[in-house]
Amino acid sequence: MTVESRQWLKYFSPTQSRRPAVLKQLLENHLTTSALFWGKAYDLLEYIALPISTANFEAELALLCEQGFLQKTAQGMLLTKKGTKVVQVDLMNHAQFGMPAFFHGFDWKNWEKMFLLMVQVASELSYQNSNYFVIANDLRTQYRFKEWLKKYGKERLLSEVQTSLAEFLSQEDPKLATLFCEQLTGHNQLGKTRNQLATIYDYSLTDLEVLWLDMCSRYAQFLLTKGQALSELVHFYKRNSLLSESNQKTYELFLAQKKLTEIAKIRGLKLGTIQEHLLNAALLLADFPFAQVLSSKLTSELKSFYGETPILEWDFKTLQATLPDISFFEYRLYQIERIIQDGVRT
Amino acid sequence: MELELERFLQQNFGYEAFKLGQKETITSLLEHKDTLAILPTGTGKSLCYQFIGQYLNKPVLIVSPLISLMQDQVEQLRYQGQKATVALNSSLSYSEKRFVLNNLTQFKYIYISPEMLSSNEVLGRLQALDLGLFVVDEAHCISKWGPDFRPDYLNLGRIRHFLGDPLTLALTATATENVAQDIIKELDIKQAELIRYPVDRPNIFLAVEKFTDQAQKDEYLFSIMQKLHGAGIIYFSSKKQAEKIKQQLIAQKISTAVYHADLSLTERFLVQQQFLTGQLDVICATSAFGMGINKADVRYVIHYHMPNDLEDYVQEIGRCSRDGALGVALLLYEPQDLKRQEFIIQKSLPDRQQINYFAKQKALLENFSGEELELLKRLFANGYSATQILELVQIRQKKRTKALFKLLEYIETKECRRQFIATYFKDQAPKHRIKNCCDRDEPFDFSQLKSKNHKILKKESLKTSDYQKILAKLFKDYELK
Ligand SMILES: [Zn+2]
Repeated sequence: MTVESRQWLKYFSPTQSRRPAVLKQLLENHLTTSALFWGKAYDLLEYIALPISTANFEAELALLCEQGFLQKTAQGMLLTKKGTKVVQVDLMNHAQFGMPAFFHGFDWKNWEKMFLLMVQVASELSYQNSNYFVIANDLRTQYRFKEWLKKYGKERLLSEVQTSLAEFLSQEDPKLATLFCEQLTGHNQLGKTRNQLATIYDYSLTDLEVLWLDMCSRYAQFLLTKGQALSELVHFYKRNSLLSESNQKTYELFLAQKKLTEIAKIRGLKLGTIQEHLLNAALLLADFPFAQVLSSKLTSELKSFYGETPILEWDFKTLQATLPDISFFEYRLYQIERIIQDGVRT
Repeated sequence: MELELERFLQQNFGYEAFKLGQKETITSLLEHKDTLAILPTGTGKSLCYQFIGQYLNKPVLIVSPLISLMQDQVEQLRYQGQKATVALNSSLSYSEKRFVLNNLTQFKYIYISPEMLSSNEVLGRLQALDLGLFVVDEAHCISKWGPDFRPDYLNLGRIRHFLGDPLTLALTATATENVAQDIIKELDIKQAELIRYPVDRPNIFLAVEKFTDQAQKDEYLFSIMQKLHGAGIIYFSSKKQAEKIKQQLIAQKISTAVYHADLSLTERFLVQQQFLTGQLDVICATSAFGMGINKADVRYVIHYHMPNDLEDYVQEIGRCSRDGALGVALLLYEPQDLKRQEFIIQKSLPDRQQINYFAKQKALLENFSGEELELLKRLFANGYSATQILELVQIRQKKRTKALFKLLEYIETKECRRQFIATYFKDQAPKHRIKNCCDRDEPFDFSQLKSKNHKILKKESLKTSDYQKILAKLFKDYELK
C-alpha cells in the first residue's frame, strides 16, 4: 500500500532524529538488533511489518523536507512545528491502524485470500450452490481451506463465519463496517474493488486500504480470541512468537539455563550472534529475565555510574574505562532494561 | 458416429451443436490424426481438447504460453465441473509445485508453461501418464519468424517424442501459411491434418478513425462513448493512459474499470466477473485482458492505441459480439501512436549491449525482470550464443516492424477492410457489403447496436444499516438484527 506523502508525518517526532532509518527498517521487517534497539527507544516497535509501501520512502521524505514539514539533521530528520500541526489534523481526518502491532509475524496477504475464500464458500453454501468461480485461484489457500473443511464440515463453516462476522462488525462503526462488507464476494454478489468504493463514496484510496487491512487484521485477532474452529485458519498466517525461528531457538536454550558459550556450540553459531538473538528477545518480549545475565552487583555498579544521564546519551567507551571487564552485550542489555523500566525522555 | 458425437456434446457439455471447426477437429483427432487447427477467436478452441479428454477418458496435457490465460482456462474448466484441472507454471511456490507433481495422476487437464517442460523431473512425471492428448495452445509462438516467438516452444518436438508421440493437437487463432508450416515442422509431426477457418467475422463492422493529435482523439472517444451502449472493451498499450481515460469516463458517469498487470489477483477476479455479469459496462484494458473472457455480448472493441500487428488486432476484436449480433471494431489512430508502438517493439527485445553484457554473466539475469530480459533468459537457457541471439533479435525486430507497418497499411487503406484482412491471412476474400461491412463508404451508425443503455454511475452516501443488509444477502438465512 502506498500512502500520500503527508501521511508519513505521523511516524515522526520533533526530538528523535534517527526515526527515518529506523522506521524504514521496521516497516520492511528488516529487524537488525540496532533497528530494534532504536525502535524500542523511540517506541516504534508496533510498526514492524505494517503494510505500508516504502518504495518511494526517500523521495517522499525529501519532498516533505522541501515543503518544511520535516527538517534534516546530522542523524536523520525531525518533525517541524508546521509538520506537527499537520499531524494533528491528519490523525483526525484519516483512517488509522487500530492494532498495528498485530502485523508483526502476520502474513496478511495470504490471510486476505483465505478470508475472502471462506466468506465466499460459506455464502454459496447457504444457497446450496456449488457452481461458481472461486475467488482465490491460489492452490495453497484452496488446499488448506479444503483440509479445514474436511475436518470441521460445512455447517460449522457457515455458522462460524456468520456469527463471527456479525459479532465482530456489531462493535465497529456501522459505516465503516459497510465499507468492509462491500468488498466481500459471495452468492450472486461480487465485491467492489477499493478503486470502485473510492469512486462511489467520498473516501480516498489510501484511507480505504487502511480501513480494509485494519479490519481484516482485527477480525483475524477476533477469531483468535474466540478460539473456535476458524481460529485454526488464522494460525496458518499468524506466527505465535514475535521472535524469528532462529532467535526463538536460542532463547529457549537460554531459558533452559544454558550458558551462552554452550548455546553457541549447540547452535553452531558465533557467540556474538547468540548475544544478538538475546538482545532481540529482550527488545521484543515483555518478560525477558534480565537477572539471568546481569548480576545485582553489576546492575548497581552501572546504576551509580550513569546516575541521572539520559539513557540514550550513555557512552560505552567511558564506561569501559571504569569497568574494564564489562562486555558490550551486558551494557546494551542493561540499557534495554532501563528503557523498559523508565521509558525514554527526549 | 456423427450423431454420437453430438449426443456426447450435449450430455457432457450441455451444448446443442458444435461451433465452427470444432467437429472437424474432434473427428480428425478421433481418427488418430495429429491436427493443426487454425480457428478464429471465439470459436471455443478449448472445447476440442476437453471433448477428447472426456471422450477417451484420459489425461490431457496443454502447453500454454501465458500464465494469465492459463489461470483463466483452469478457472473456466473448474467452473464447468472439471475440478481435476491444474496449472503448472512459475506462479506456483516450491511447495505447491511439489504438491502438484506428487499428485499428478489425480488431474485430468494439466496446463503447463513451456519453461516448466524444461525440467527433467517434470518430464519424468509426465512420461508416466497415459496421455490421451498433447495440446500446443497458441502454437504460432513456435515460429521463429513470428512476433510471439518463445524459445522454449522449439523444444516441443523433442518433448513430444520423449512422451511417446501422443496424439497431438496444435491450436492457434491466426497463422499465415509460413507459420503453419513452421508449426508442423518444429513439432516434428509426420502427417498433419490441417484445419483452417477464415479469420473473418462477418458480424463485426470494421472502422478506423484518424486524428491529428491525442486531444482530438480523446474528444472523439468521449463523444462516441455517449452514443455507445452495452458492454465494450477499450484497449490501451499504456497502463497510465488506461487509468486516465477511465477517470474521465467515470466523470461522464459511465461504469468502467481498468484491467492491467498492476491489479492484484483479487481485483482482477472482481473486475472480470463484474464485466461478465453485466455490472460493469466498459473495461479499459491493456492486452492482458480478455484472454479467457467468454462474454458473448461485448458490442464494441475500441483500440485507443494500435496493437503490434494484424494478428493481435484480429485476436482482440475477436472478443466482440460472439453471439453473432452486430458489433463494431474501431481503431483510433494519431501519428504519435506509430512512434509509441515502435518504441514498445524496441523495448521488448534485448539490445546489443544487454546481450553482450549478460552473455558474460548469465547468473546476474536472475536479478532483473522485464519482457526483453525474460526472453534473453530463456534464450540462454536454451543454449543460444550471443551471436545467435543478436541475429535472432535483428530478424525479429525487422519482422515486427514489418508487421507493424502492415497494420498501418490497414489503417490507411481506402479499400474494404474485411478484404484487406482476408488477403493478409490468405483467406478467400469476402465481398464488400453495402451494409454493415466496413467504413469504406460511410462511417458506422452507432445507433444500430442492439444493447441496453449504459448504467449510470451514482455517488452515494453510506447508510448505517447497510452492512447488515449485505450480510443478509451473503447468507441466505441470516437474521437481521
Ligand atoms: Zn468492407
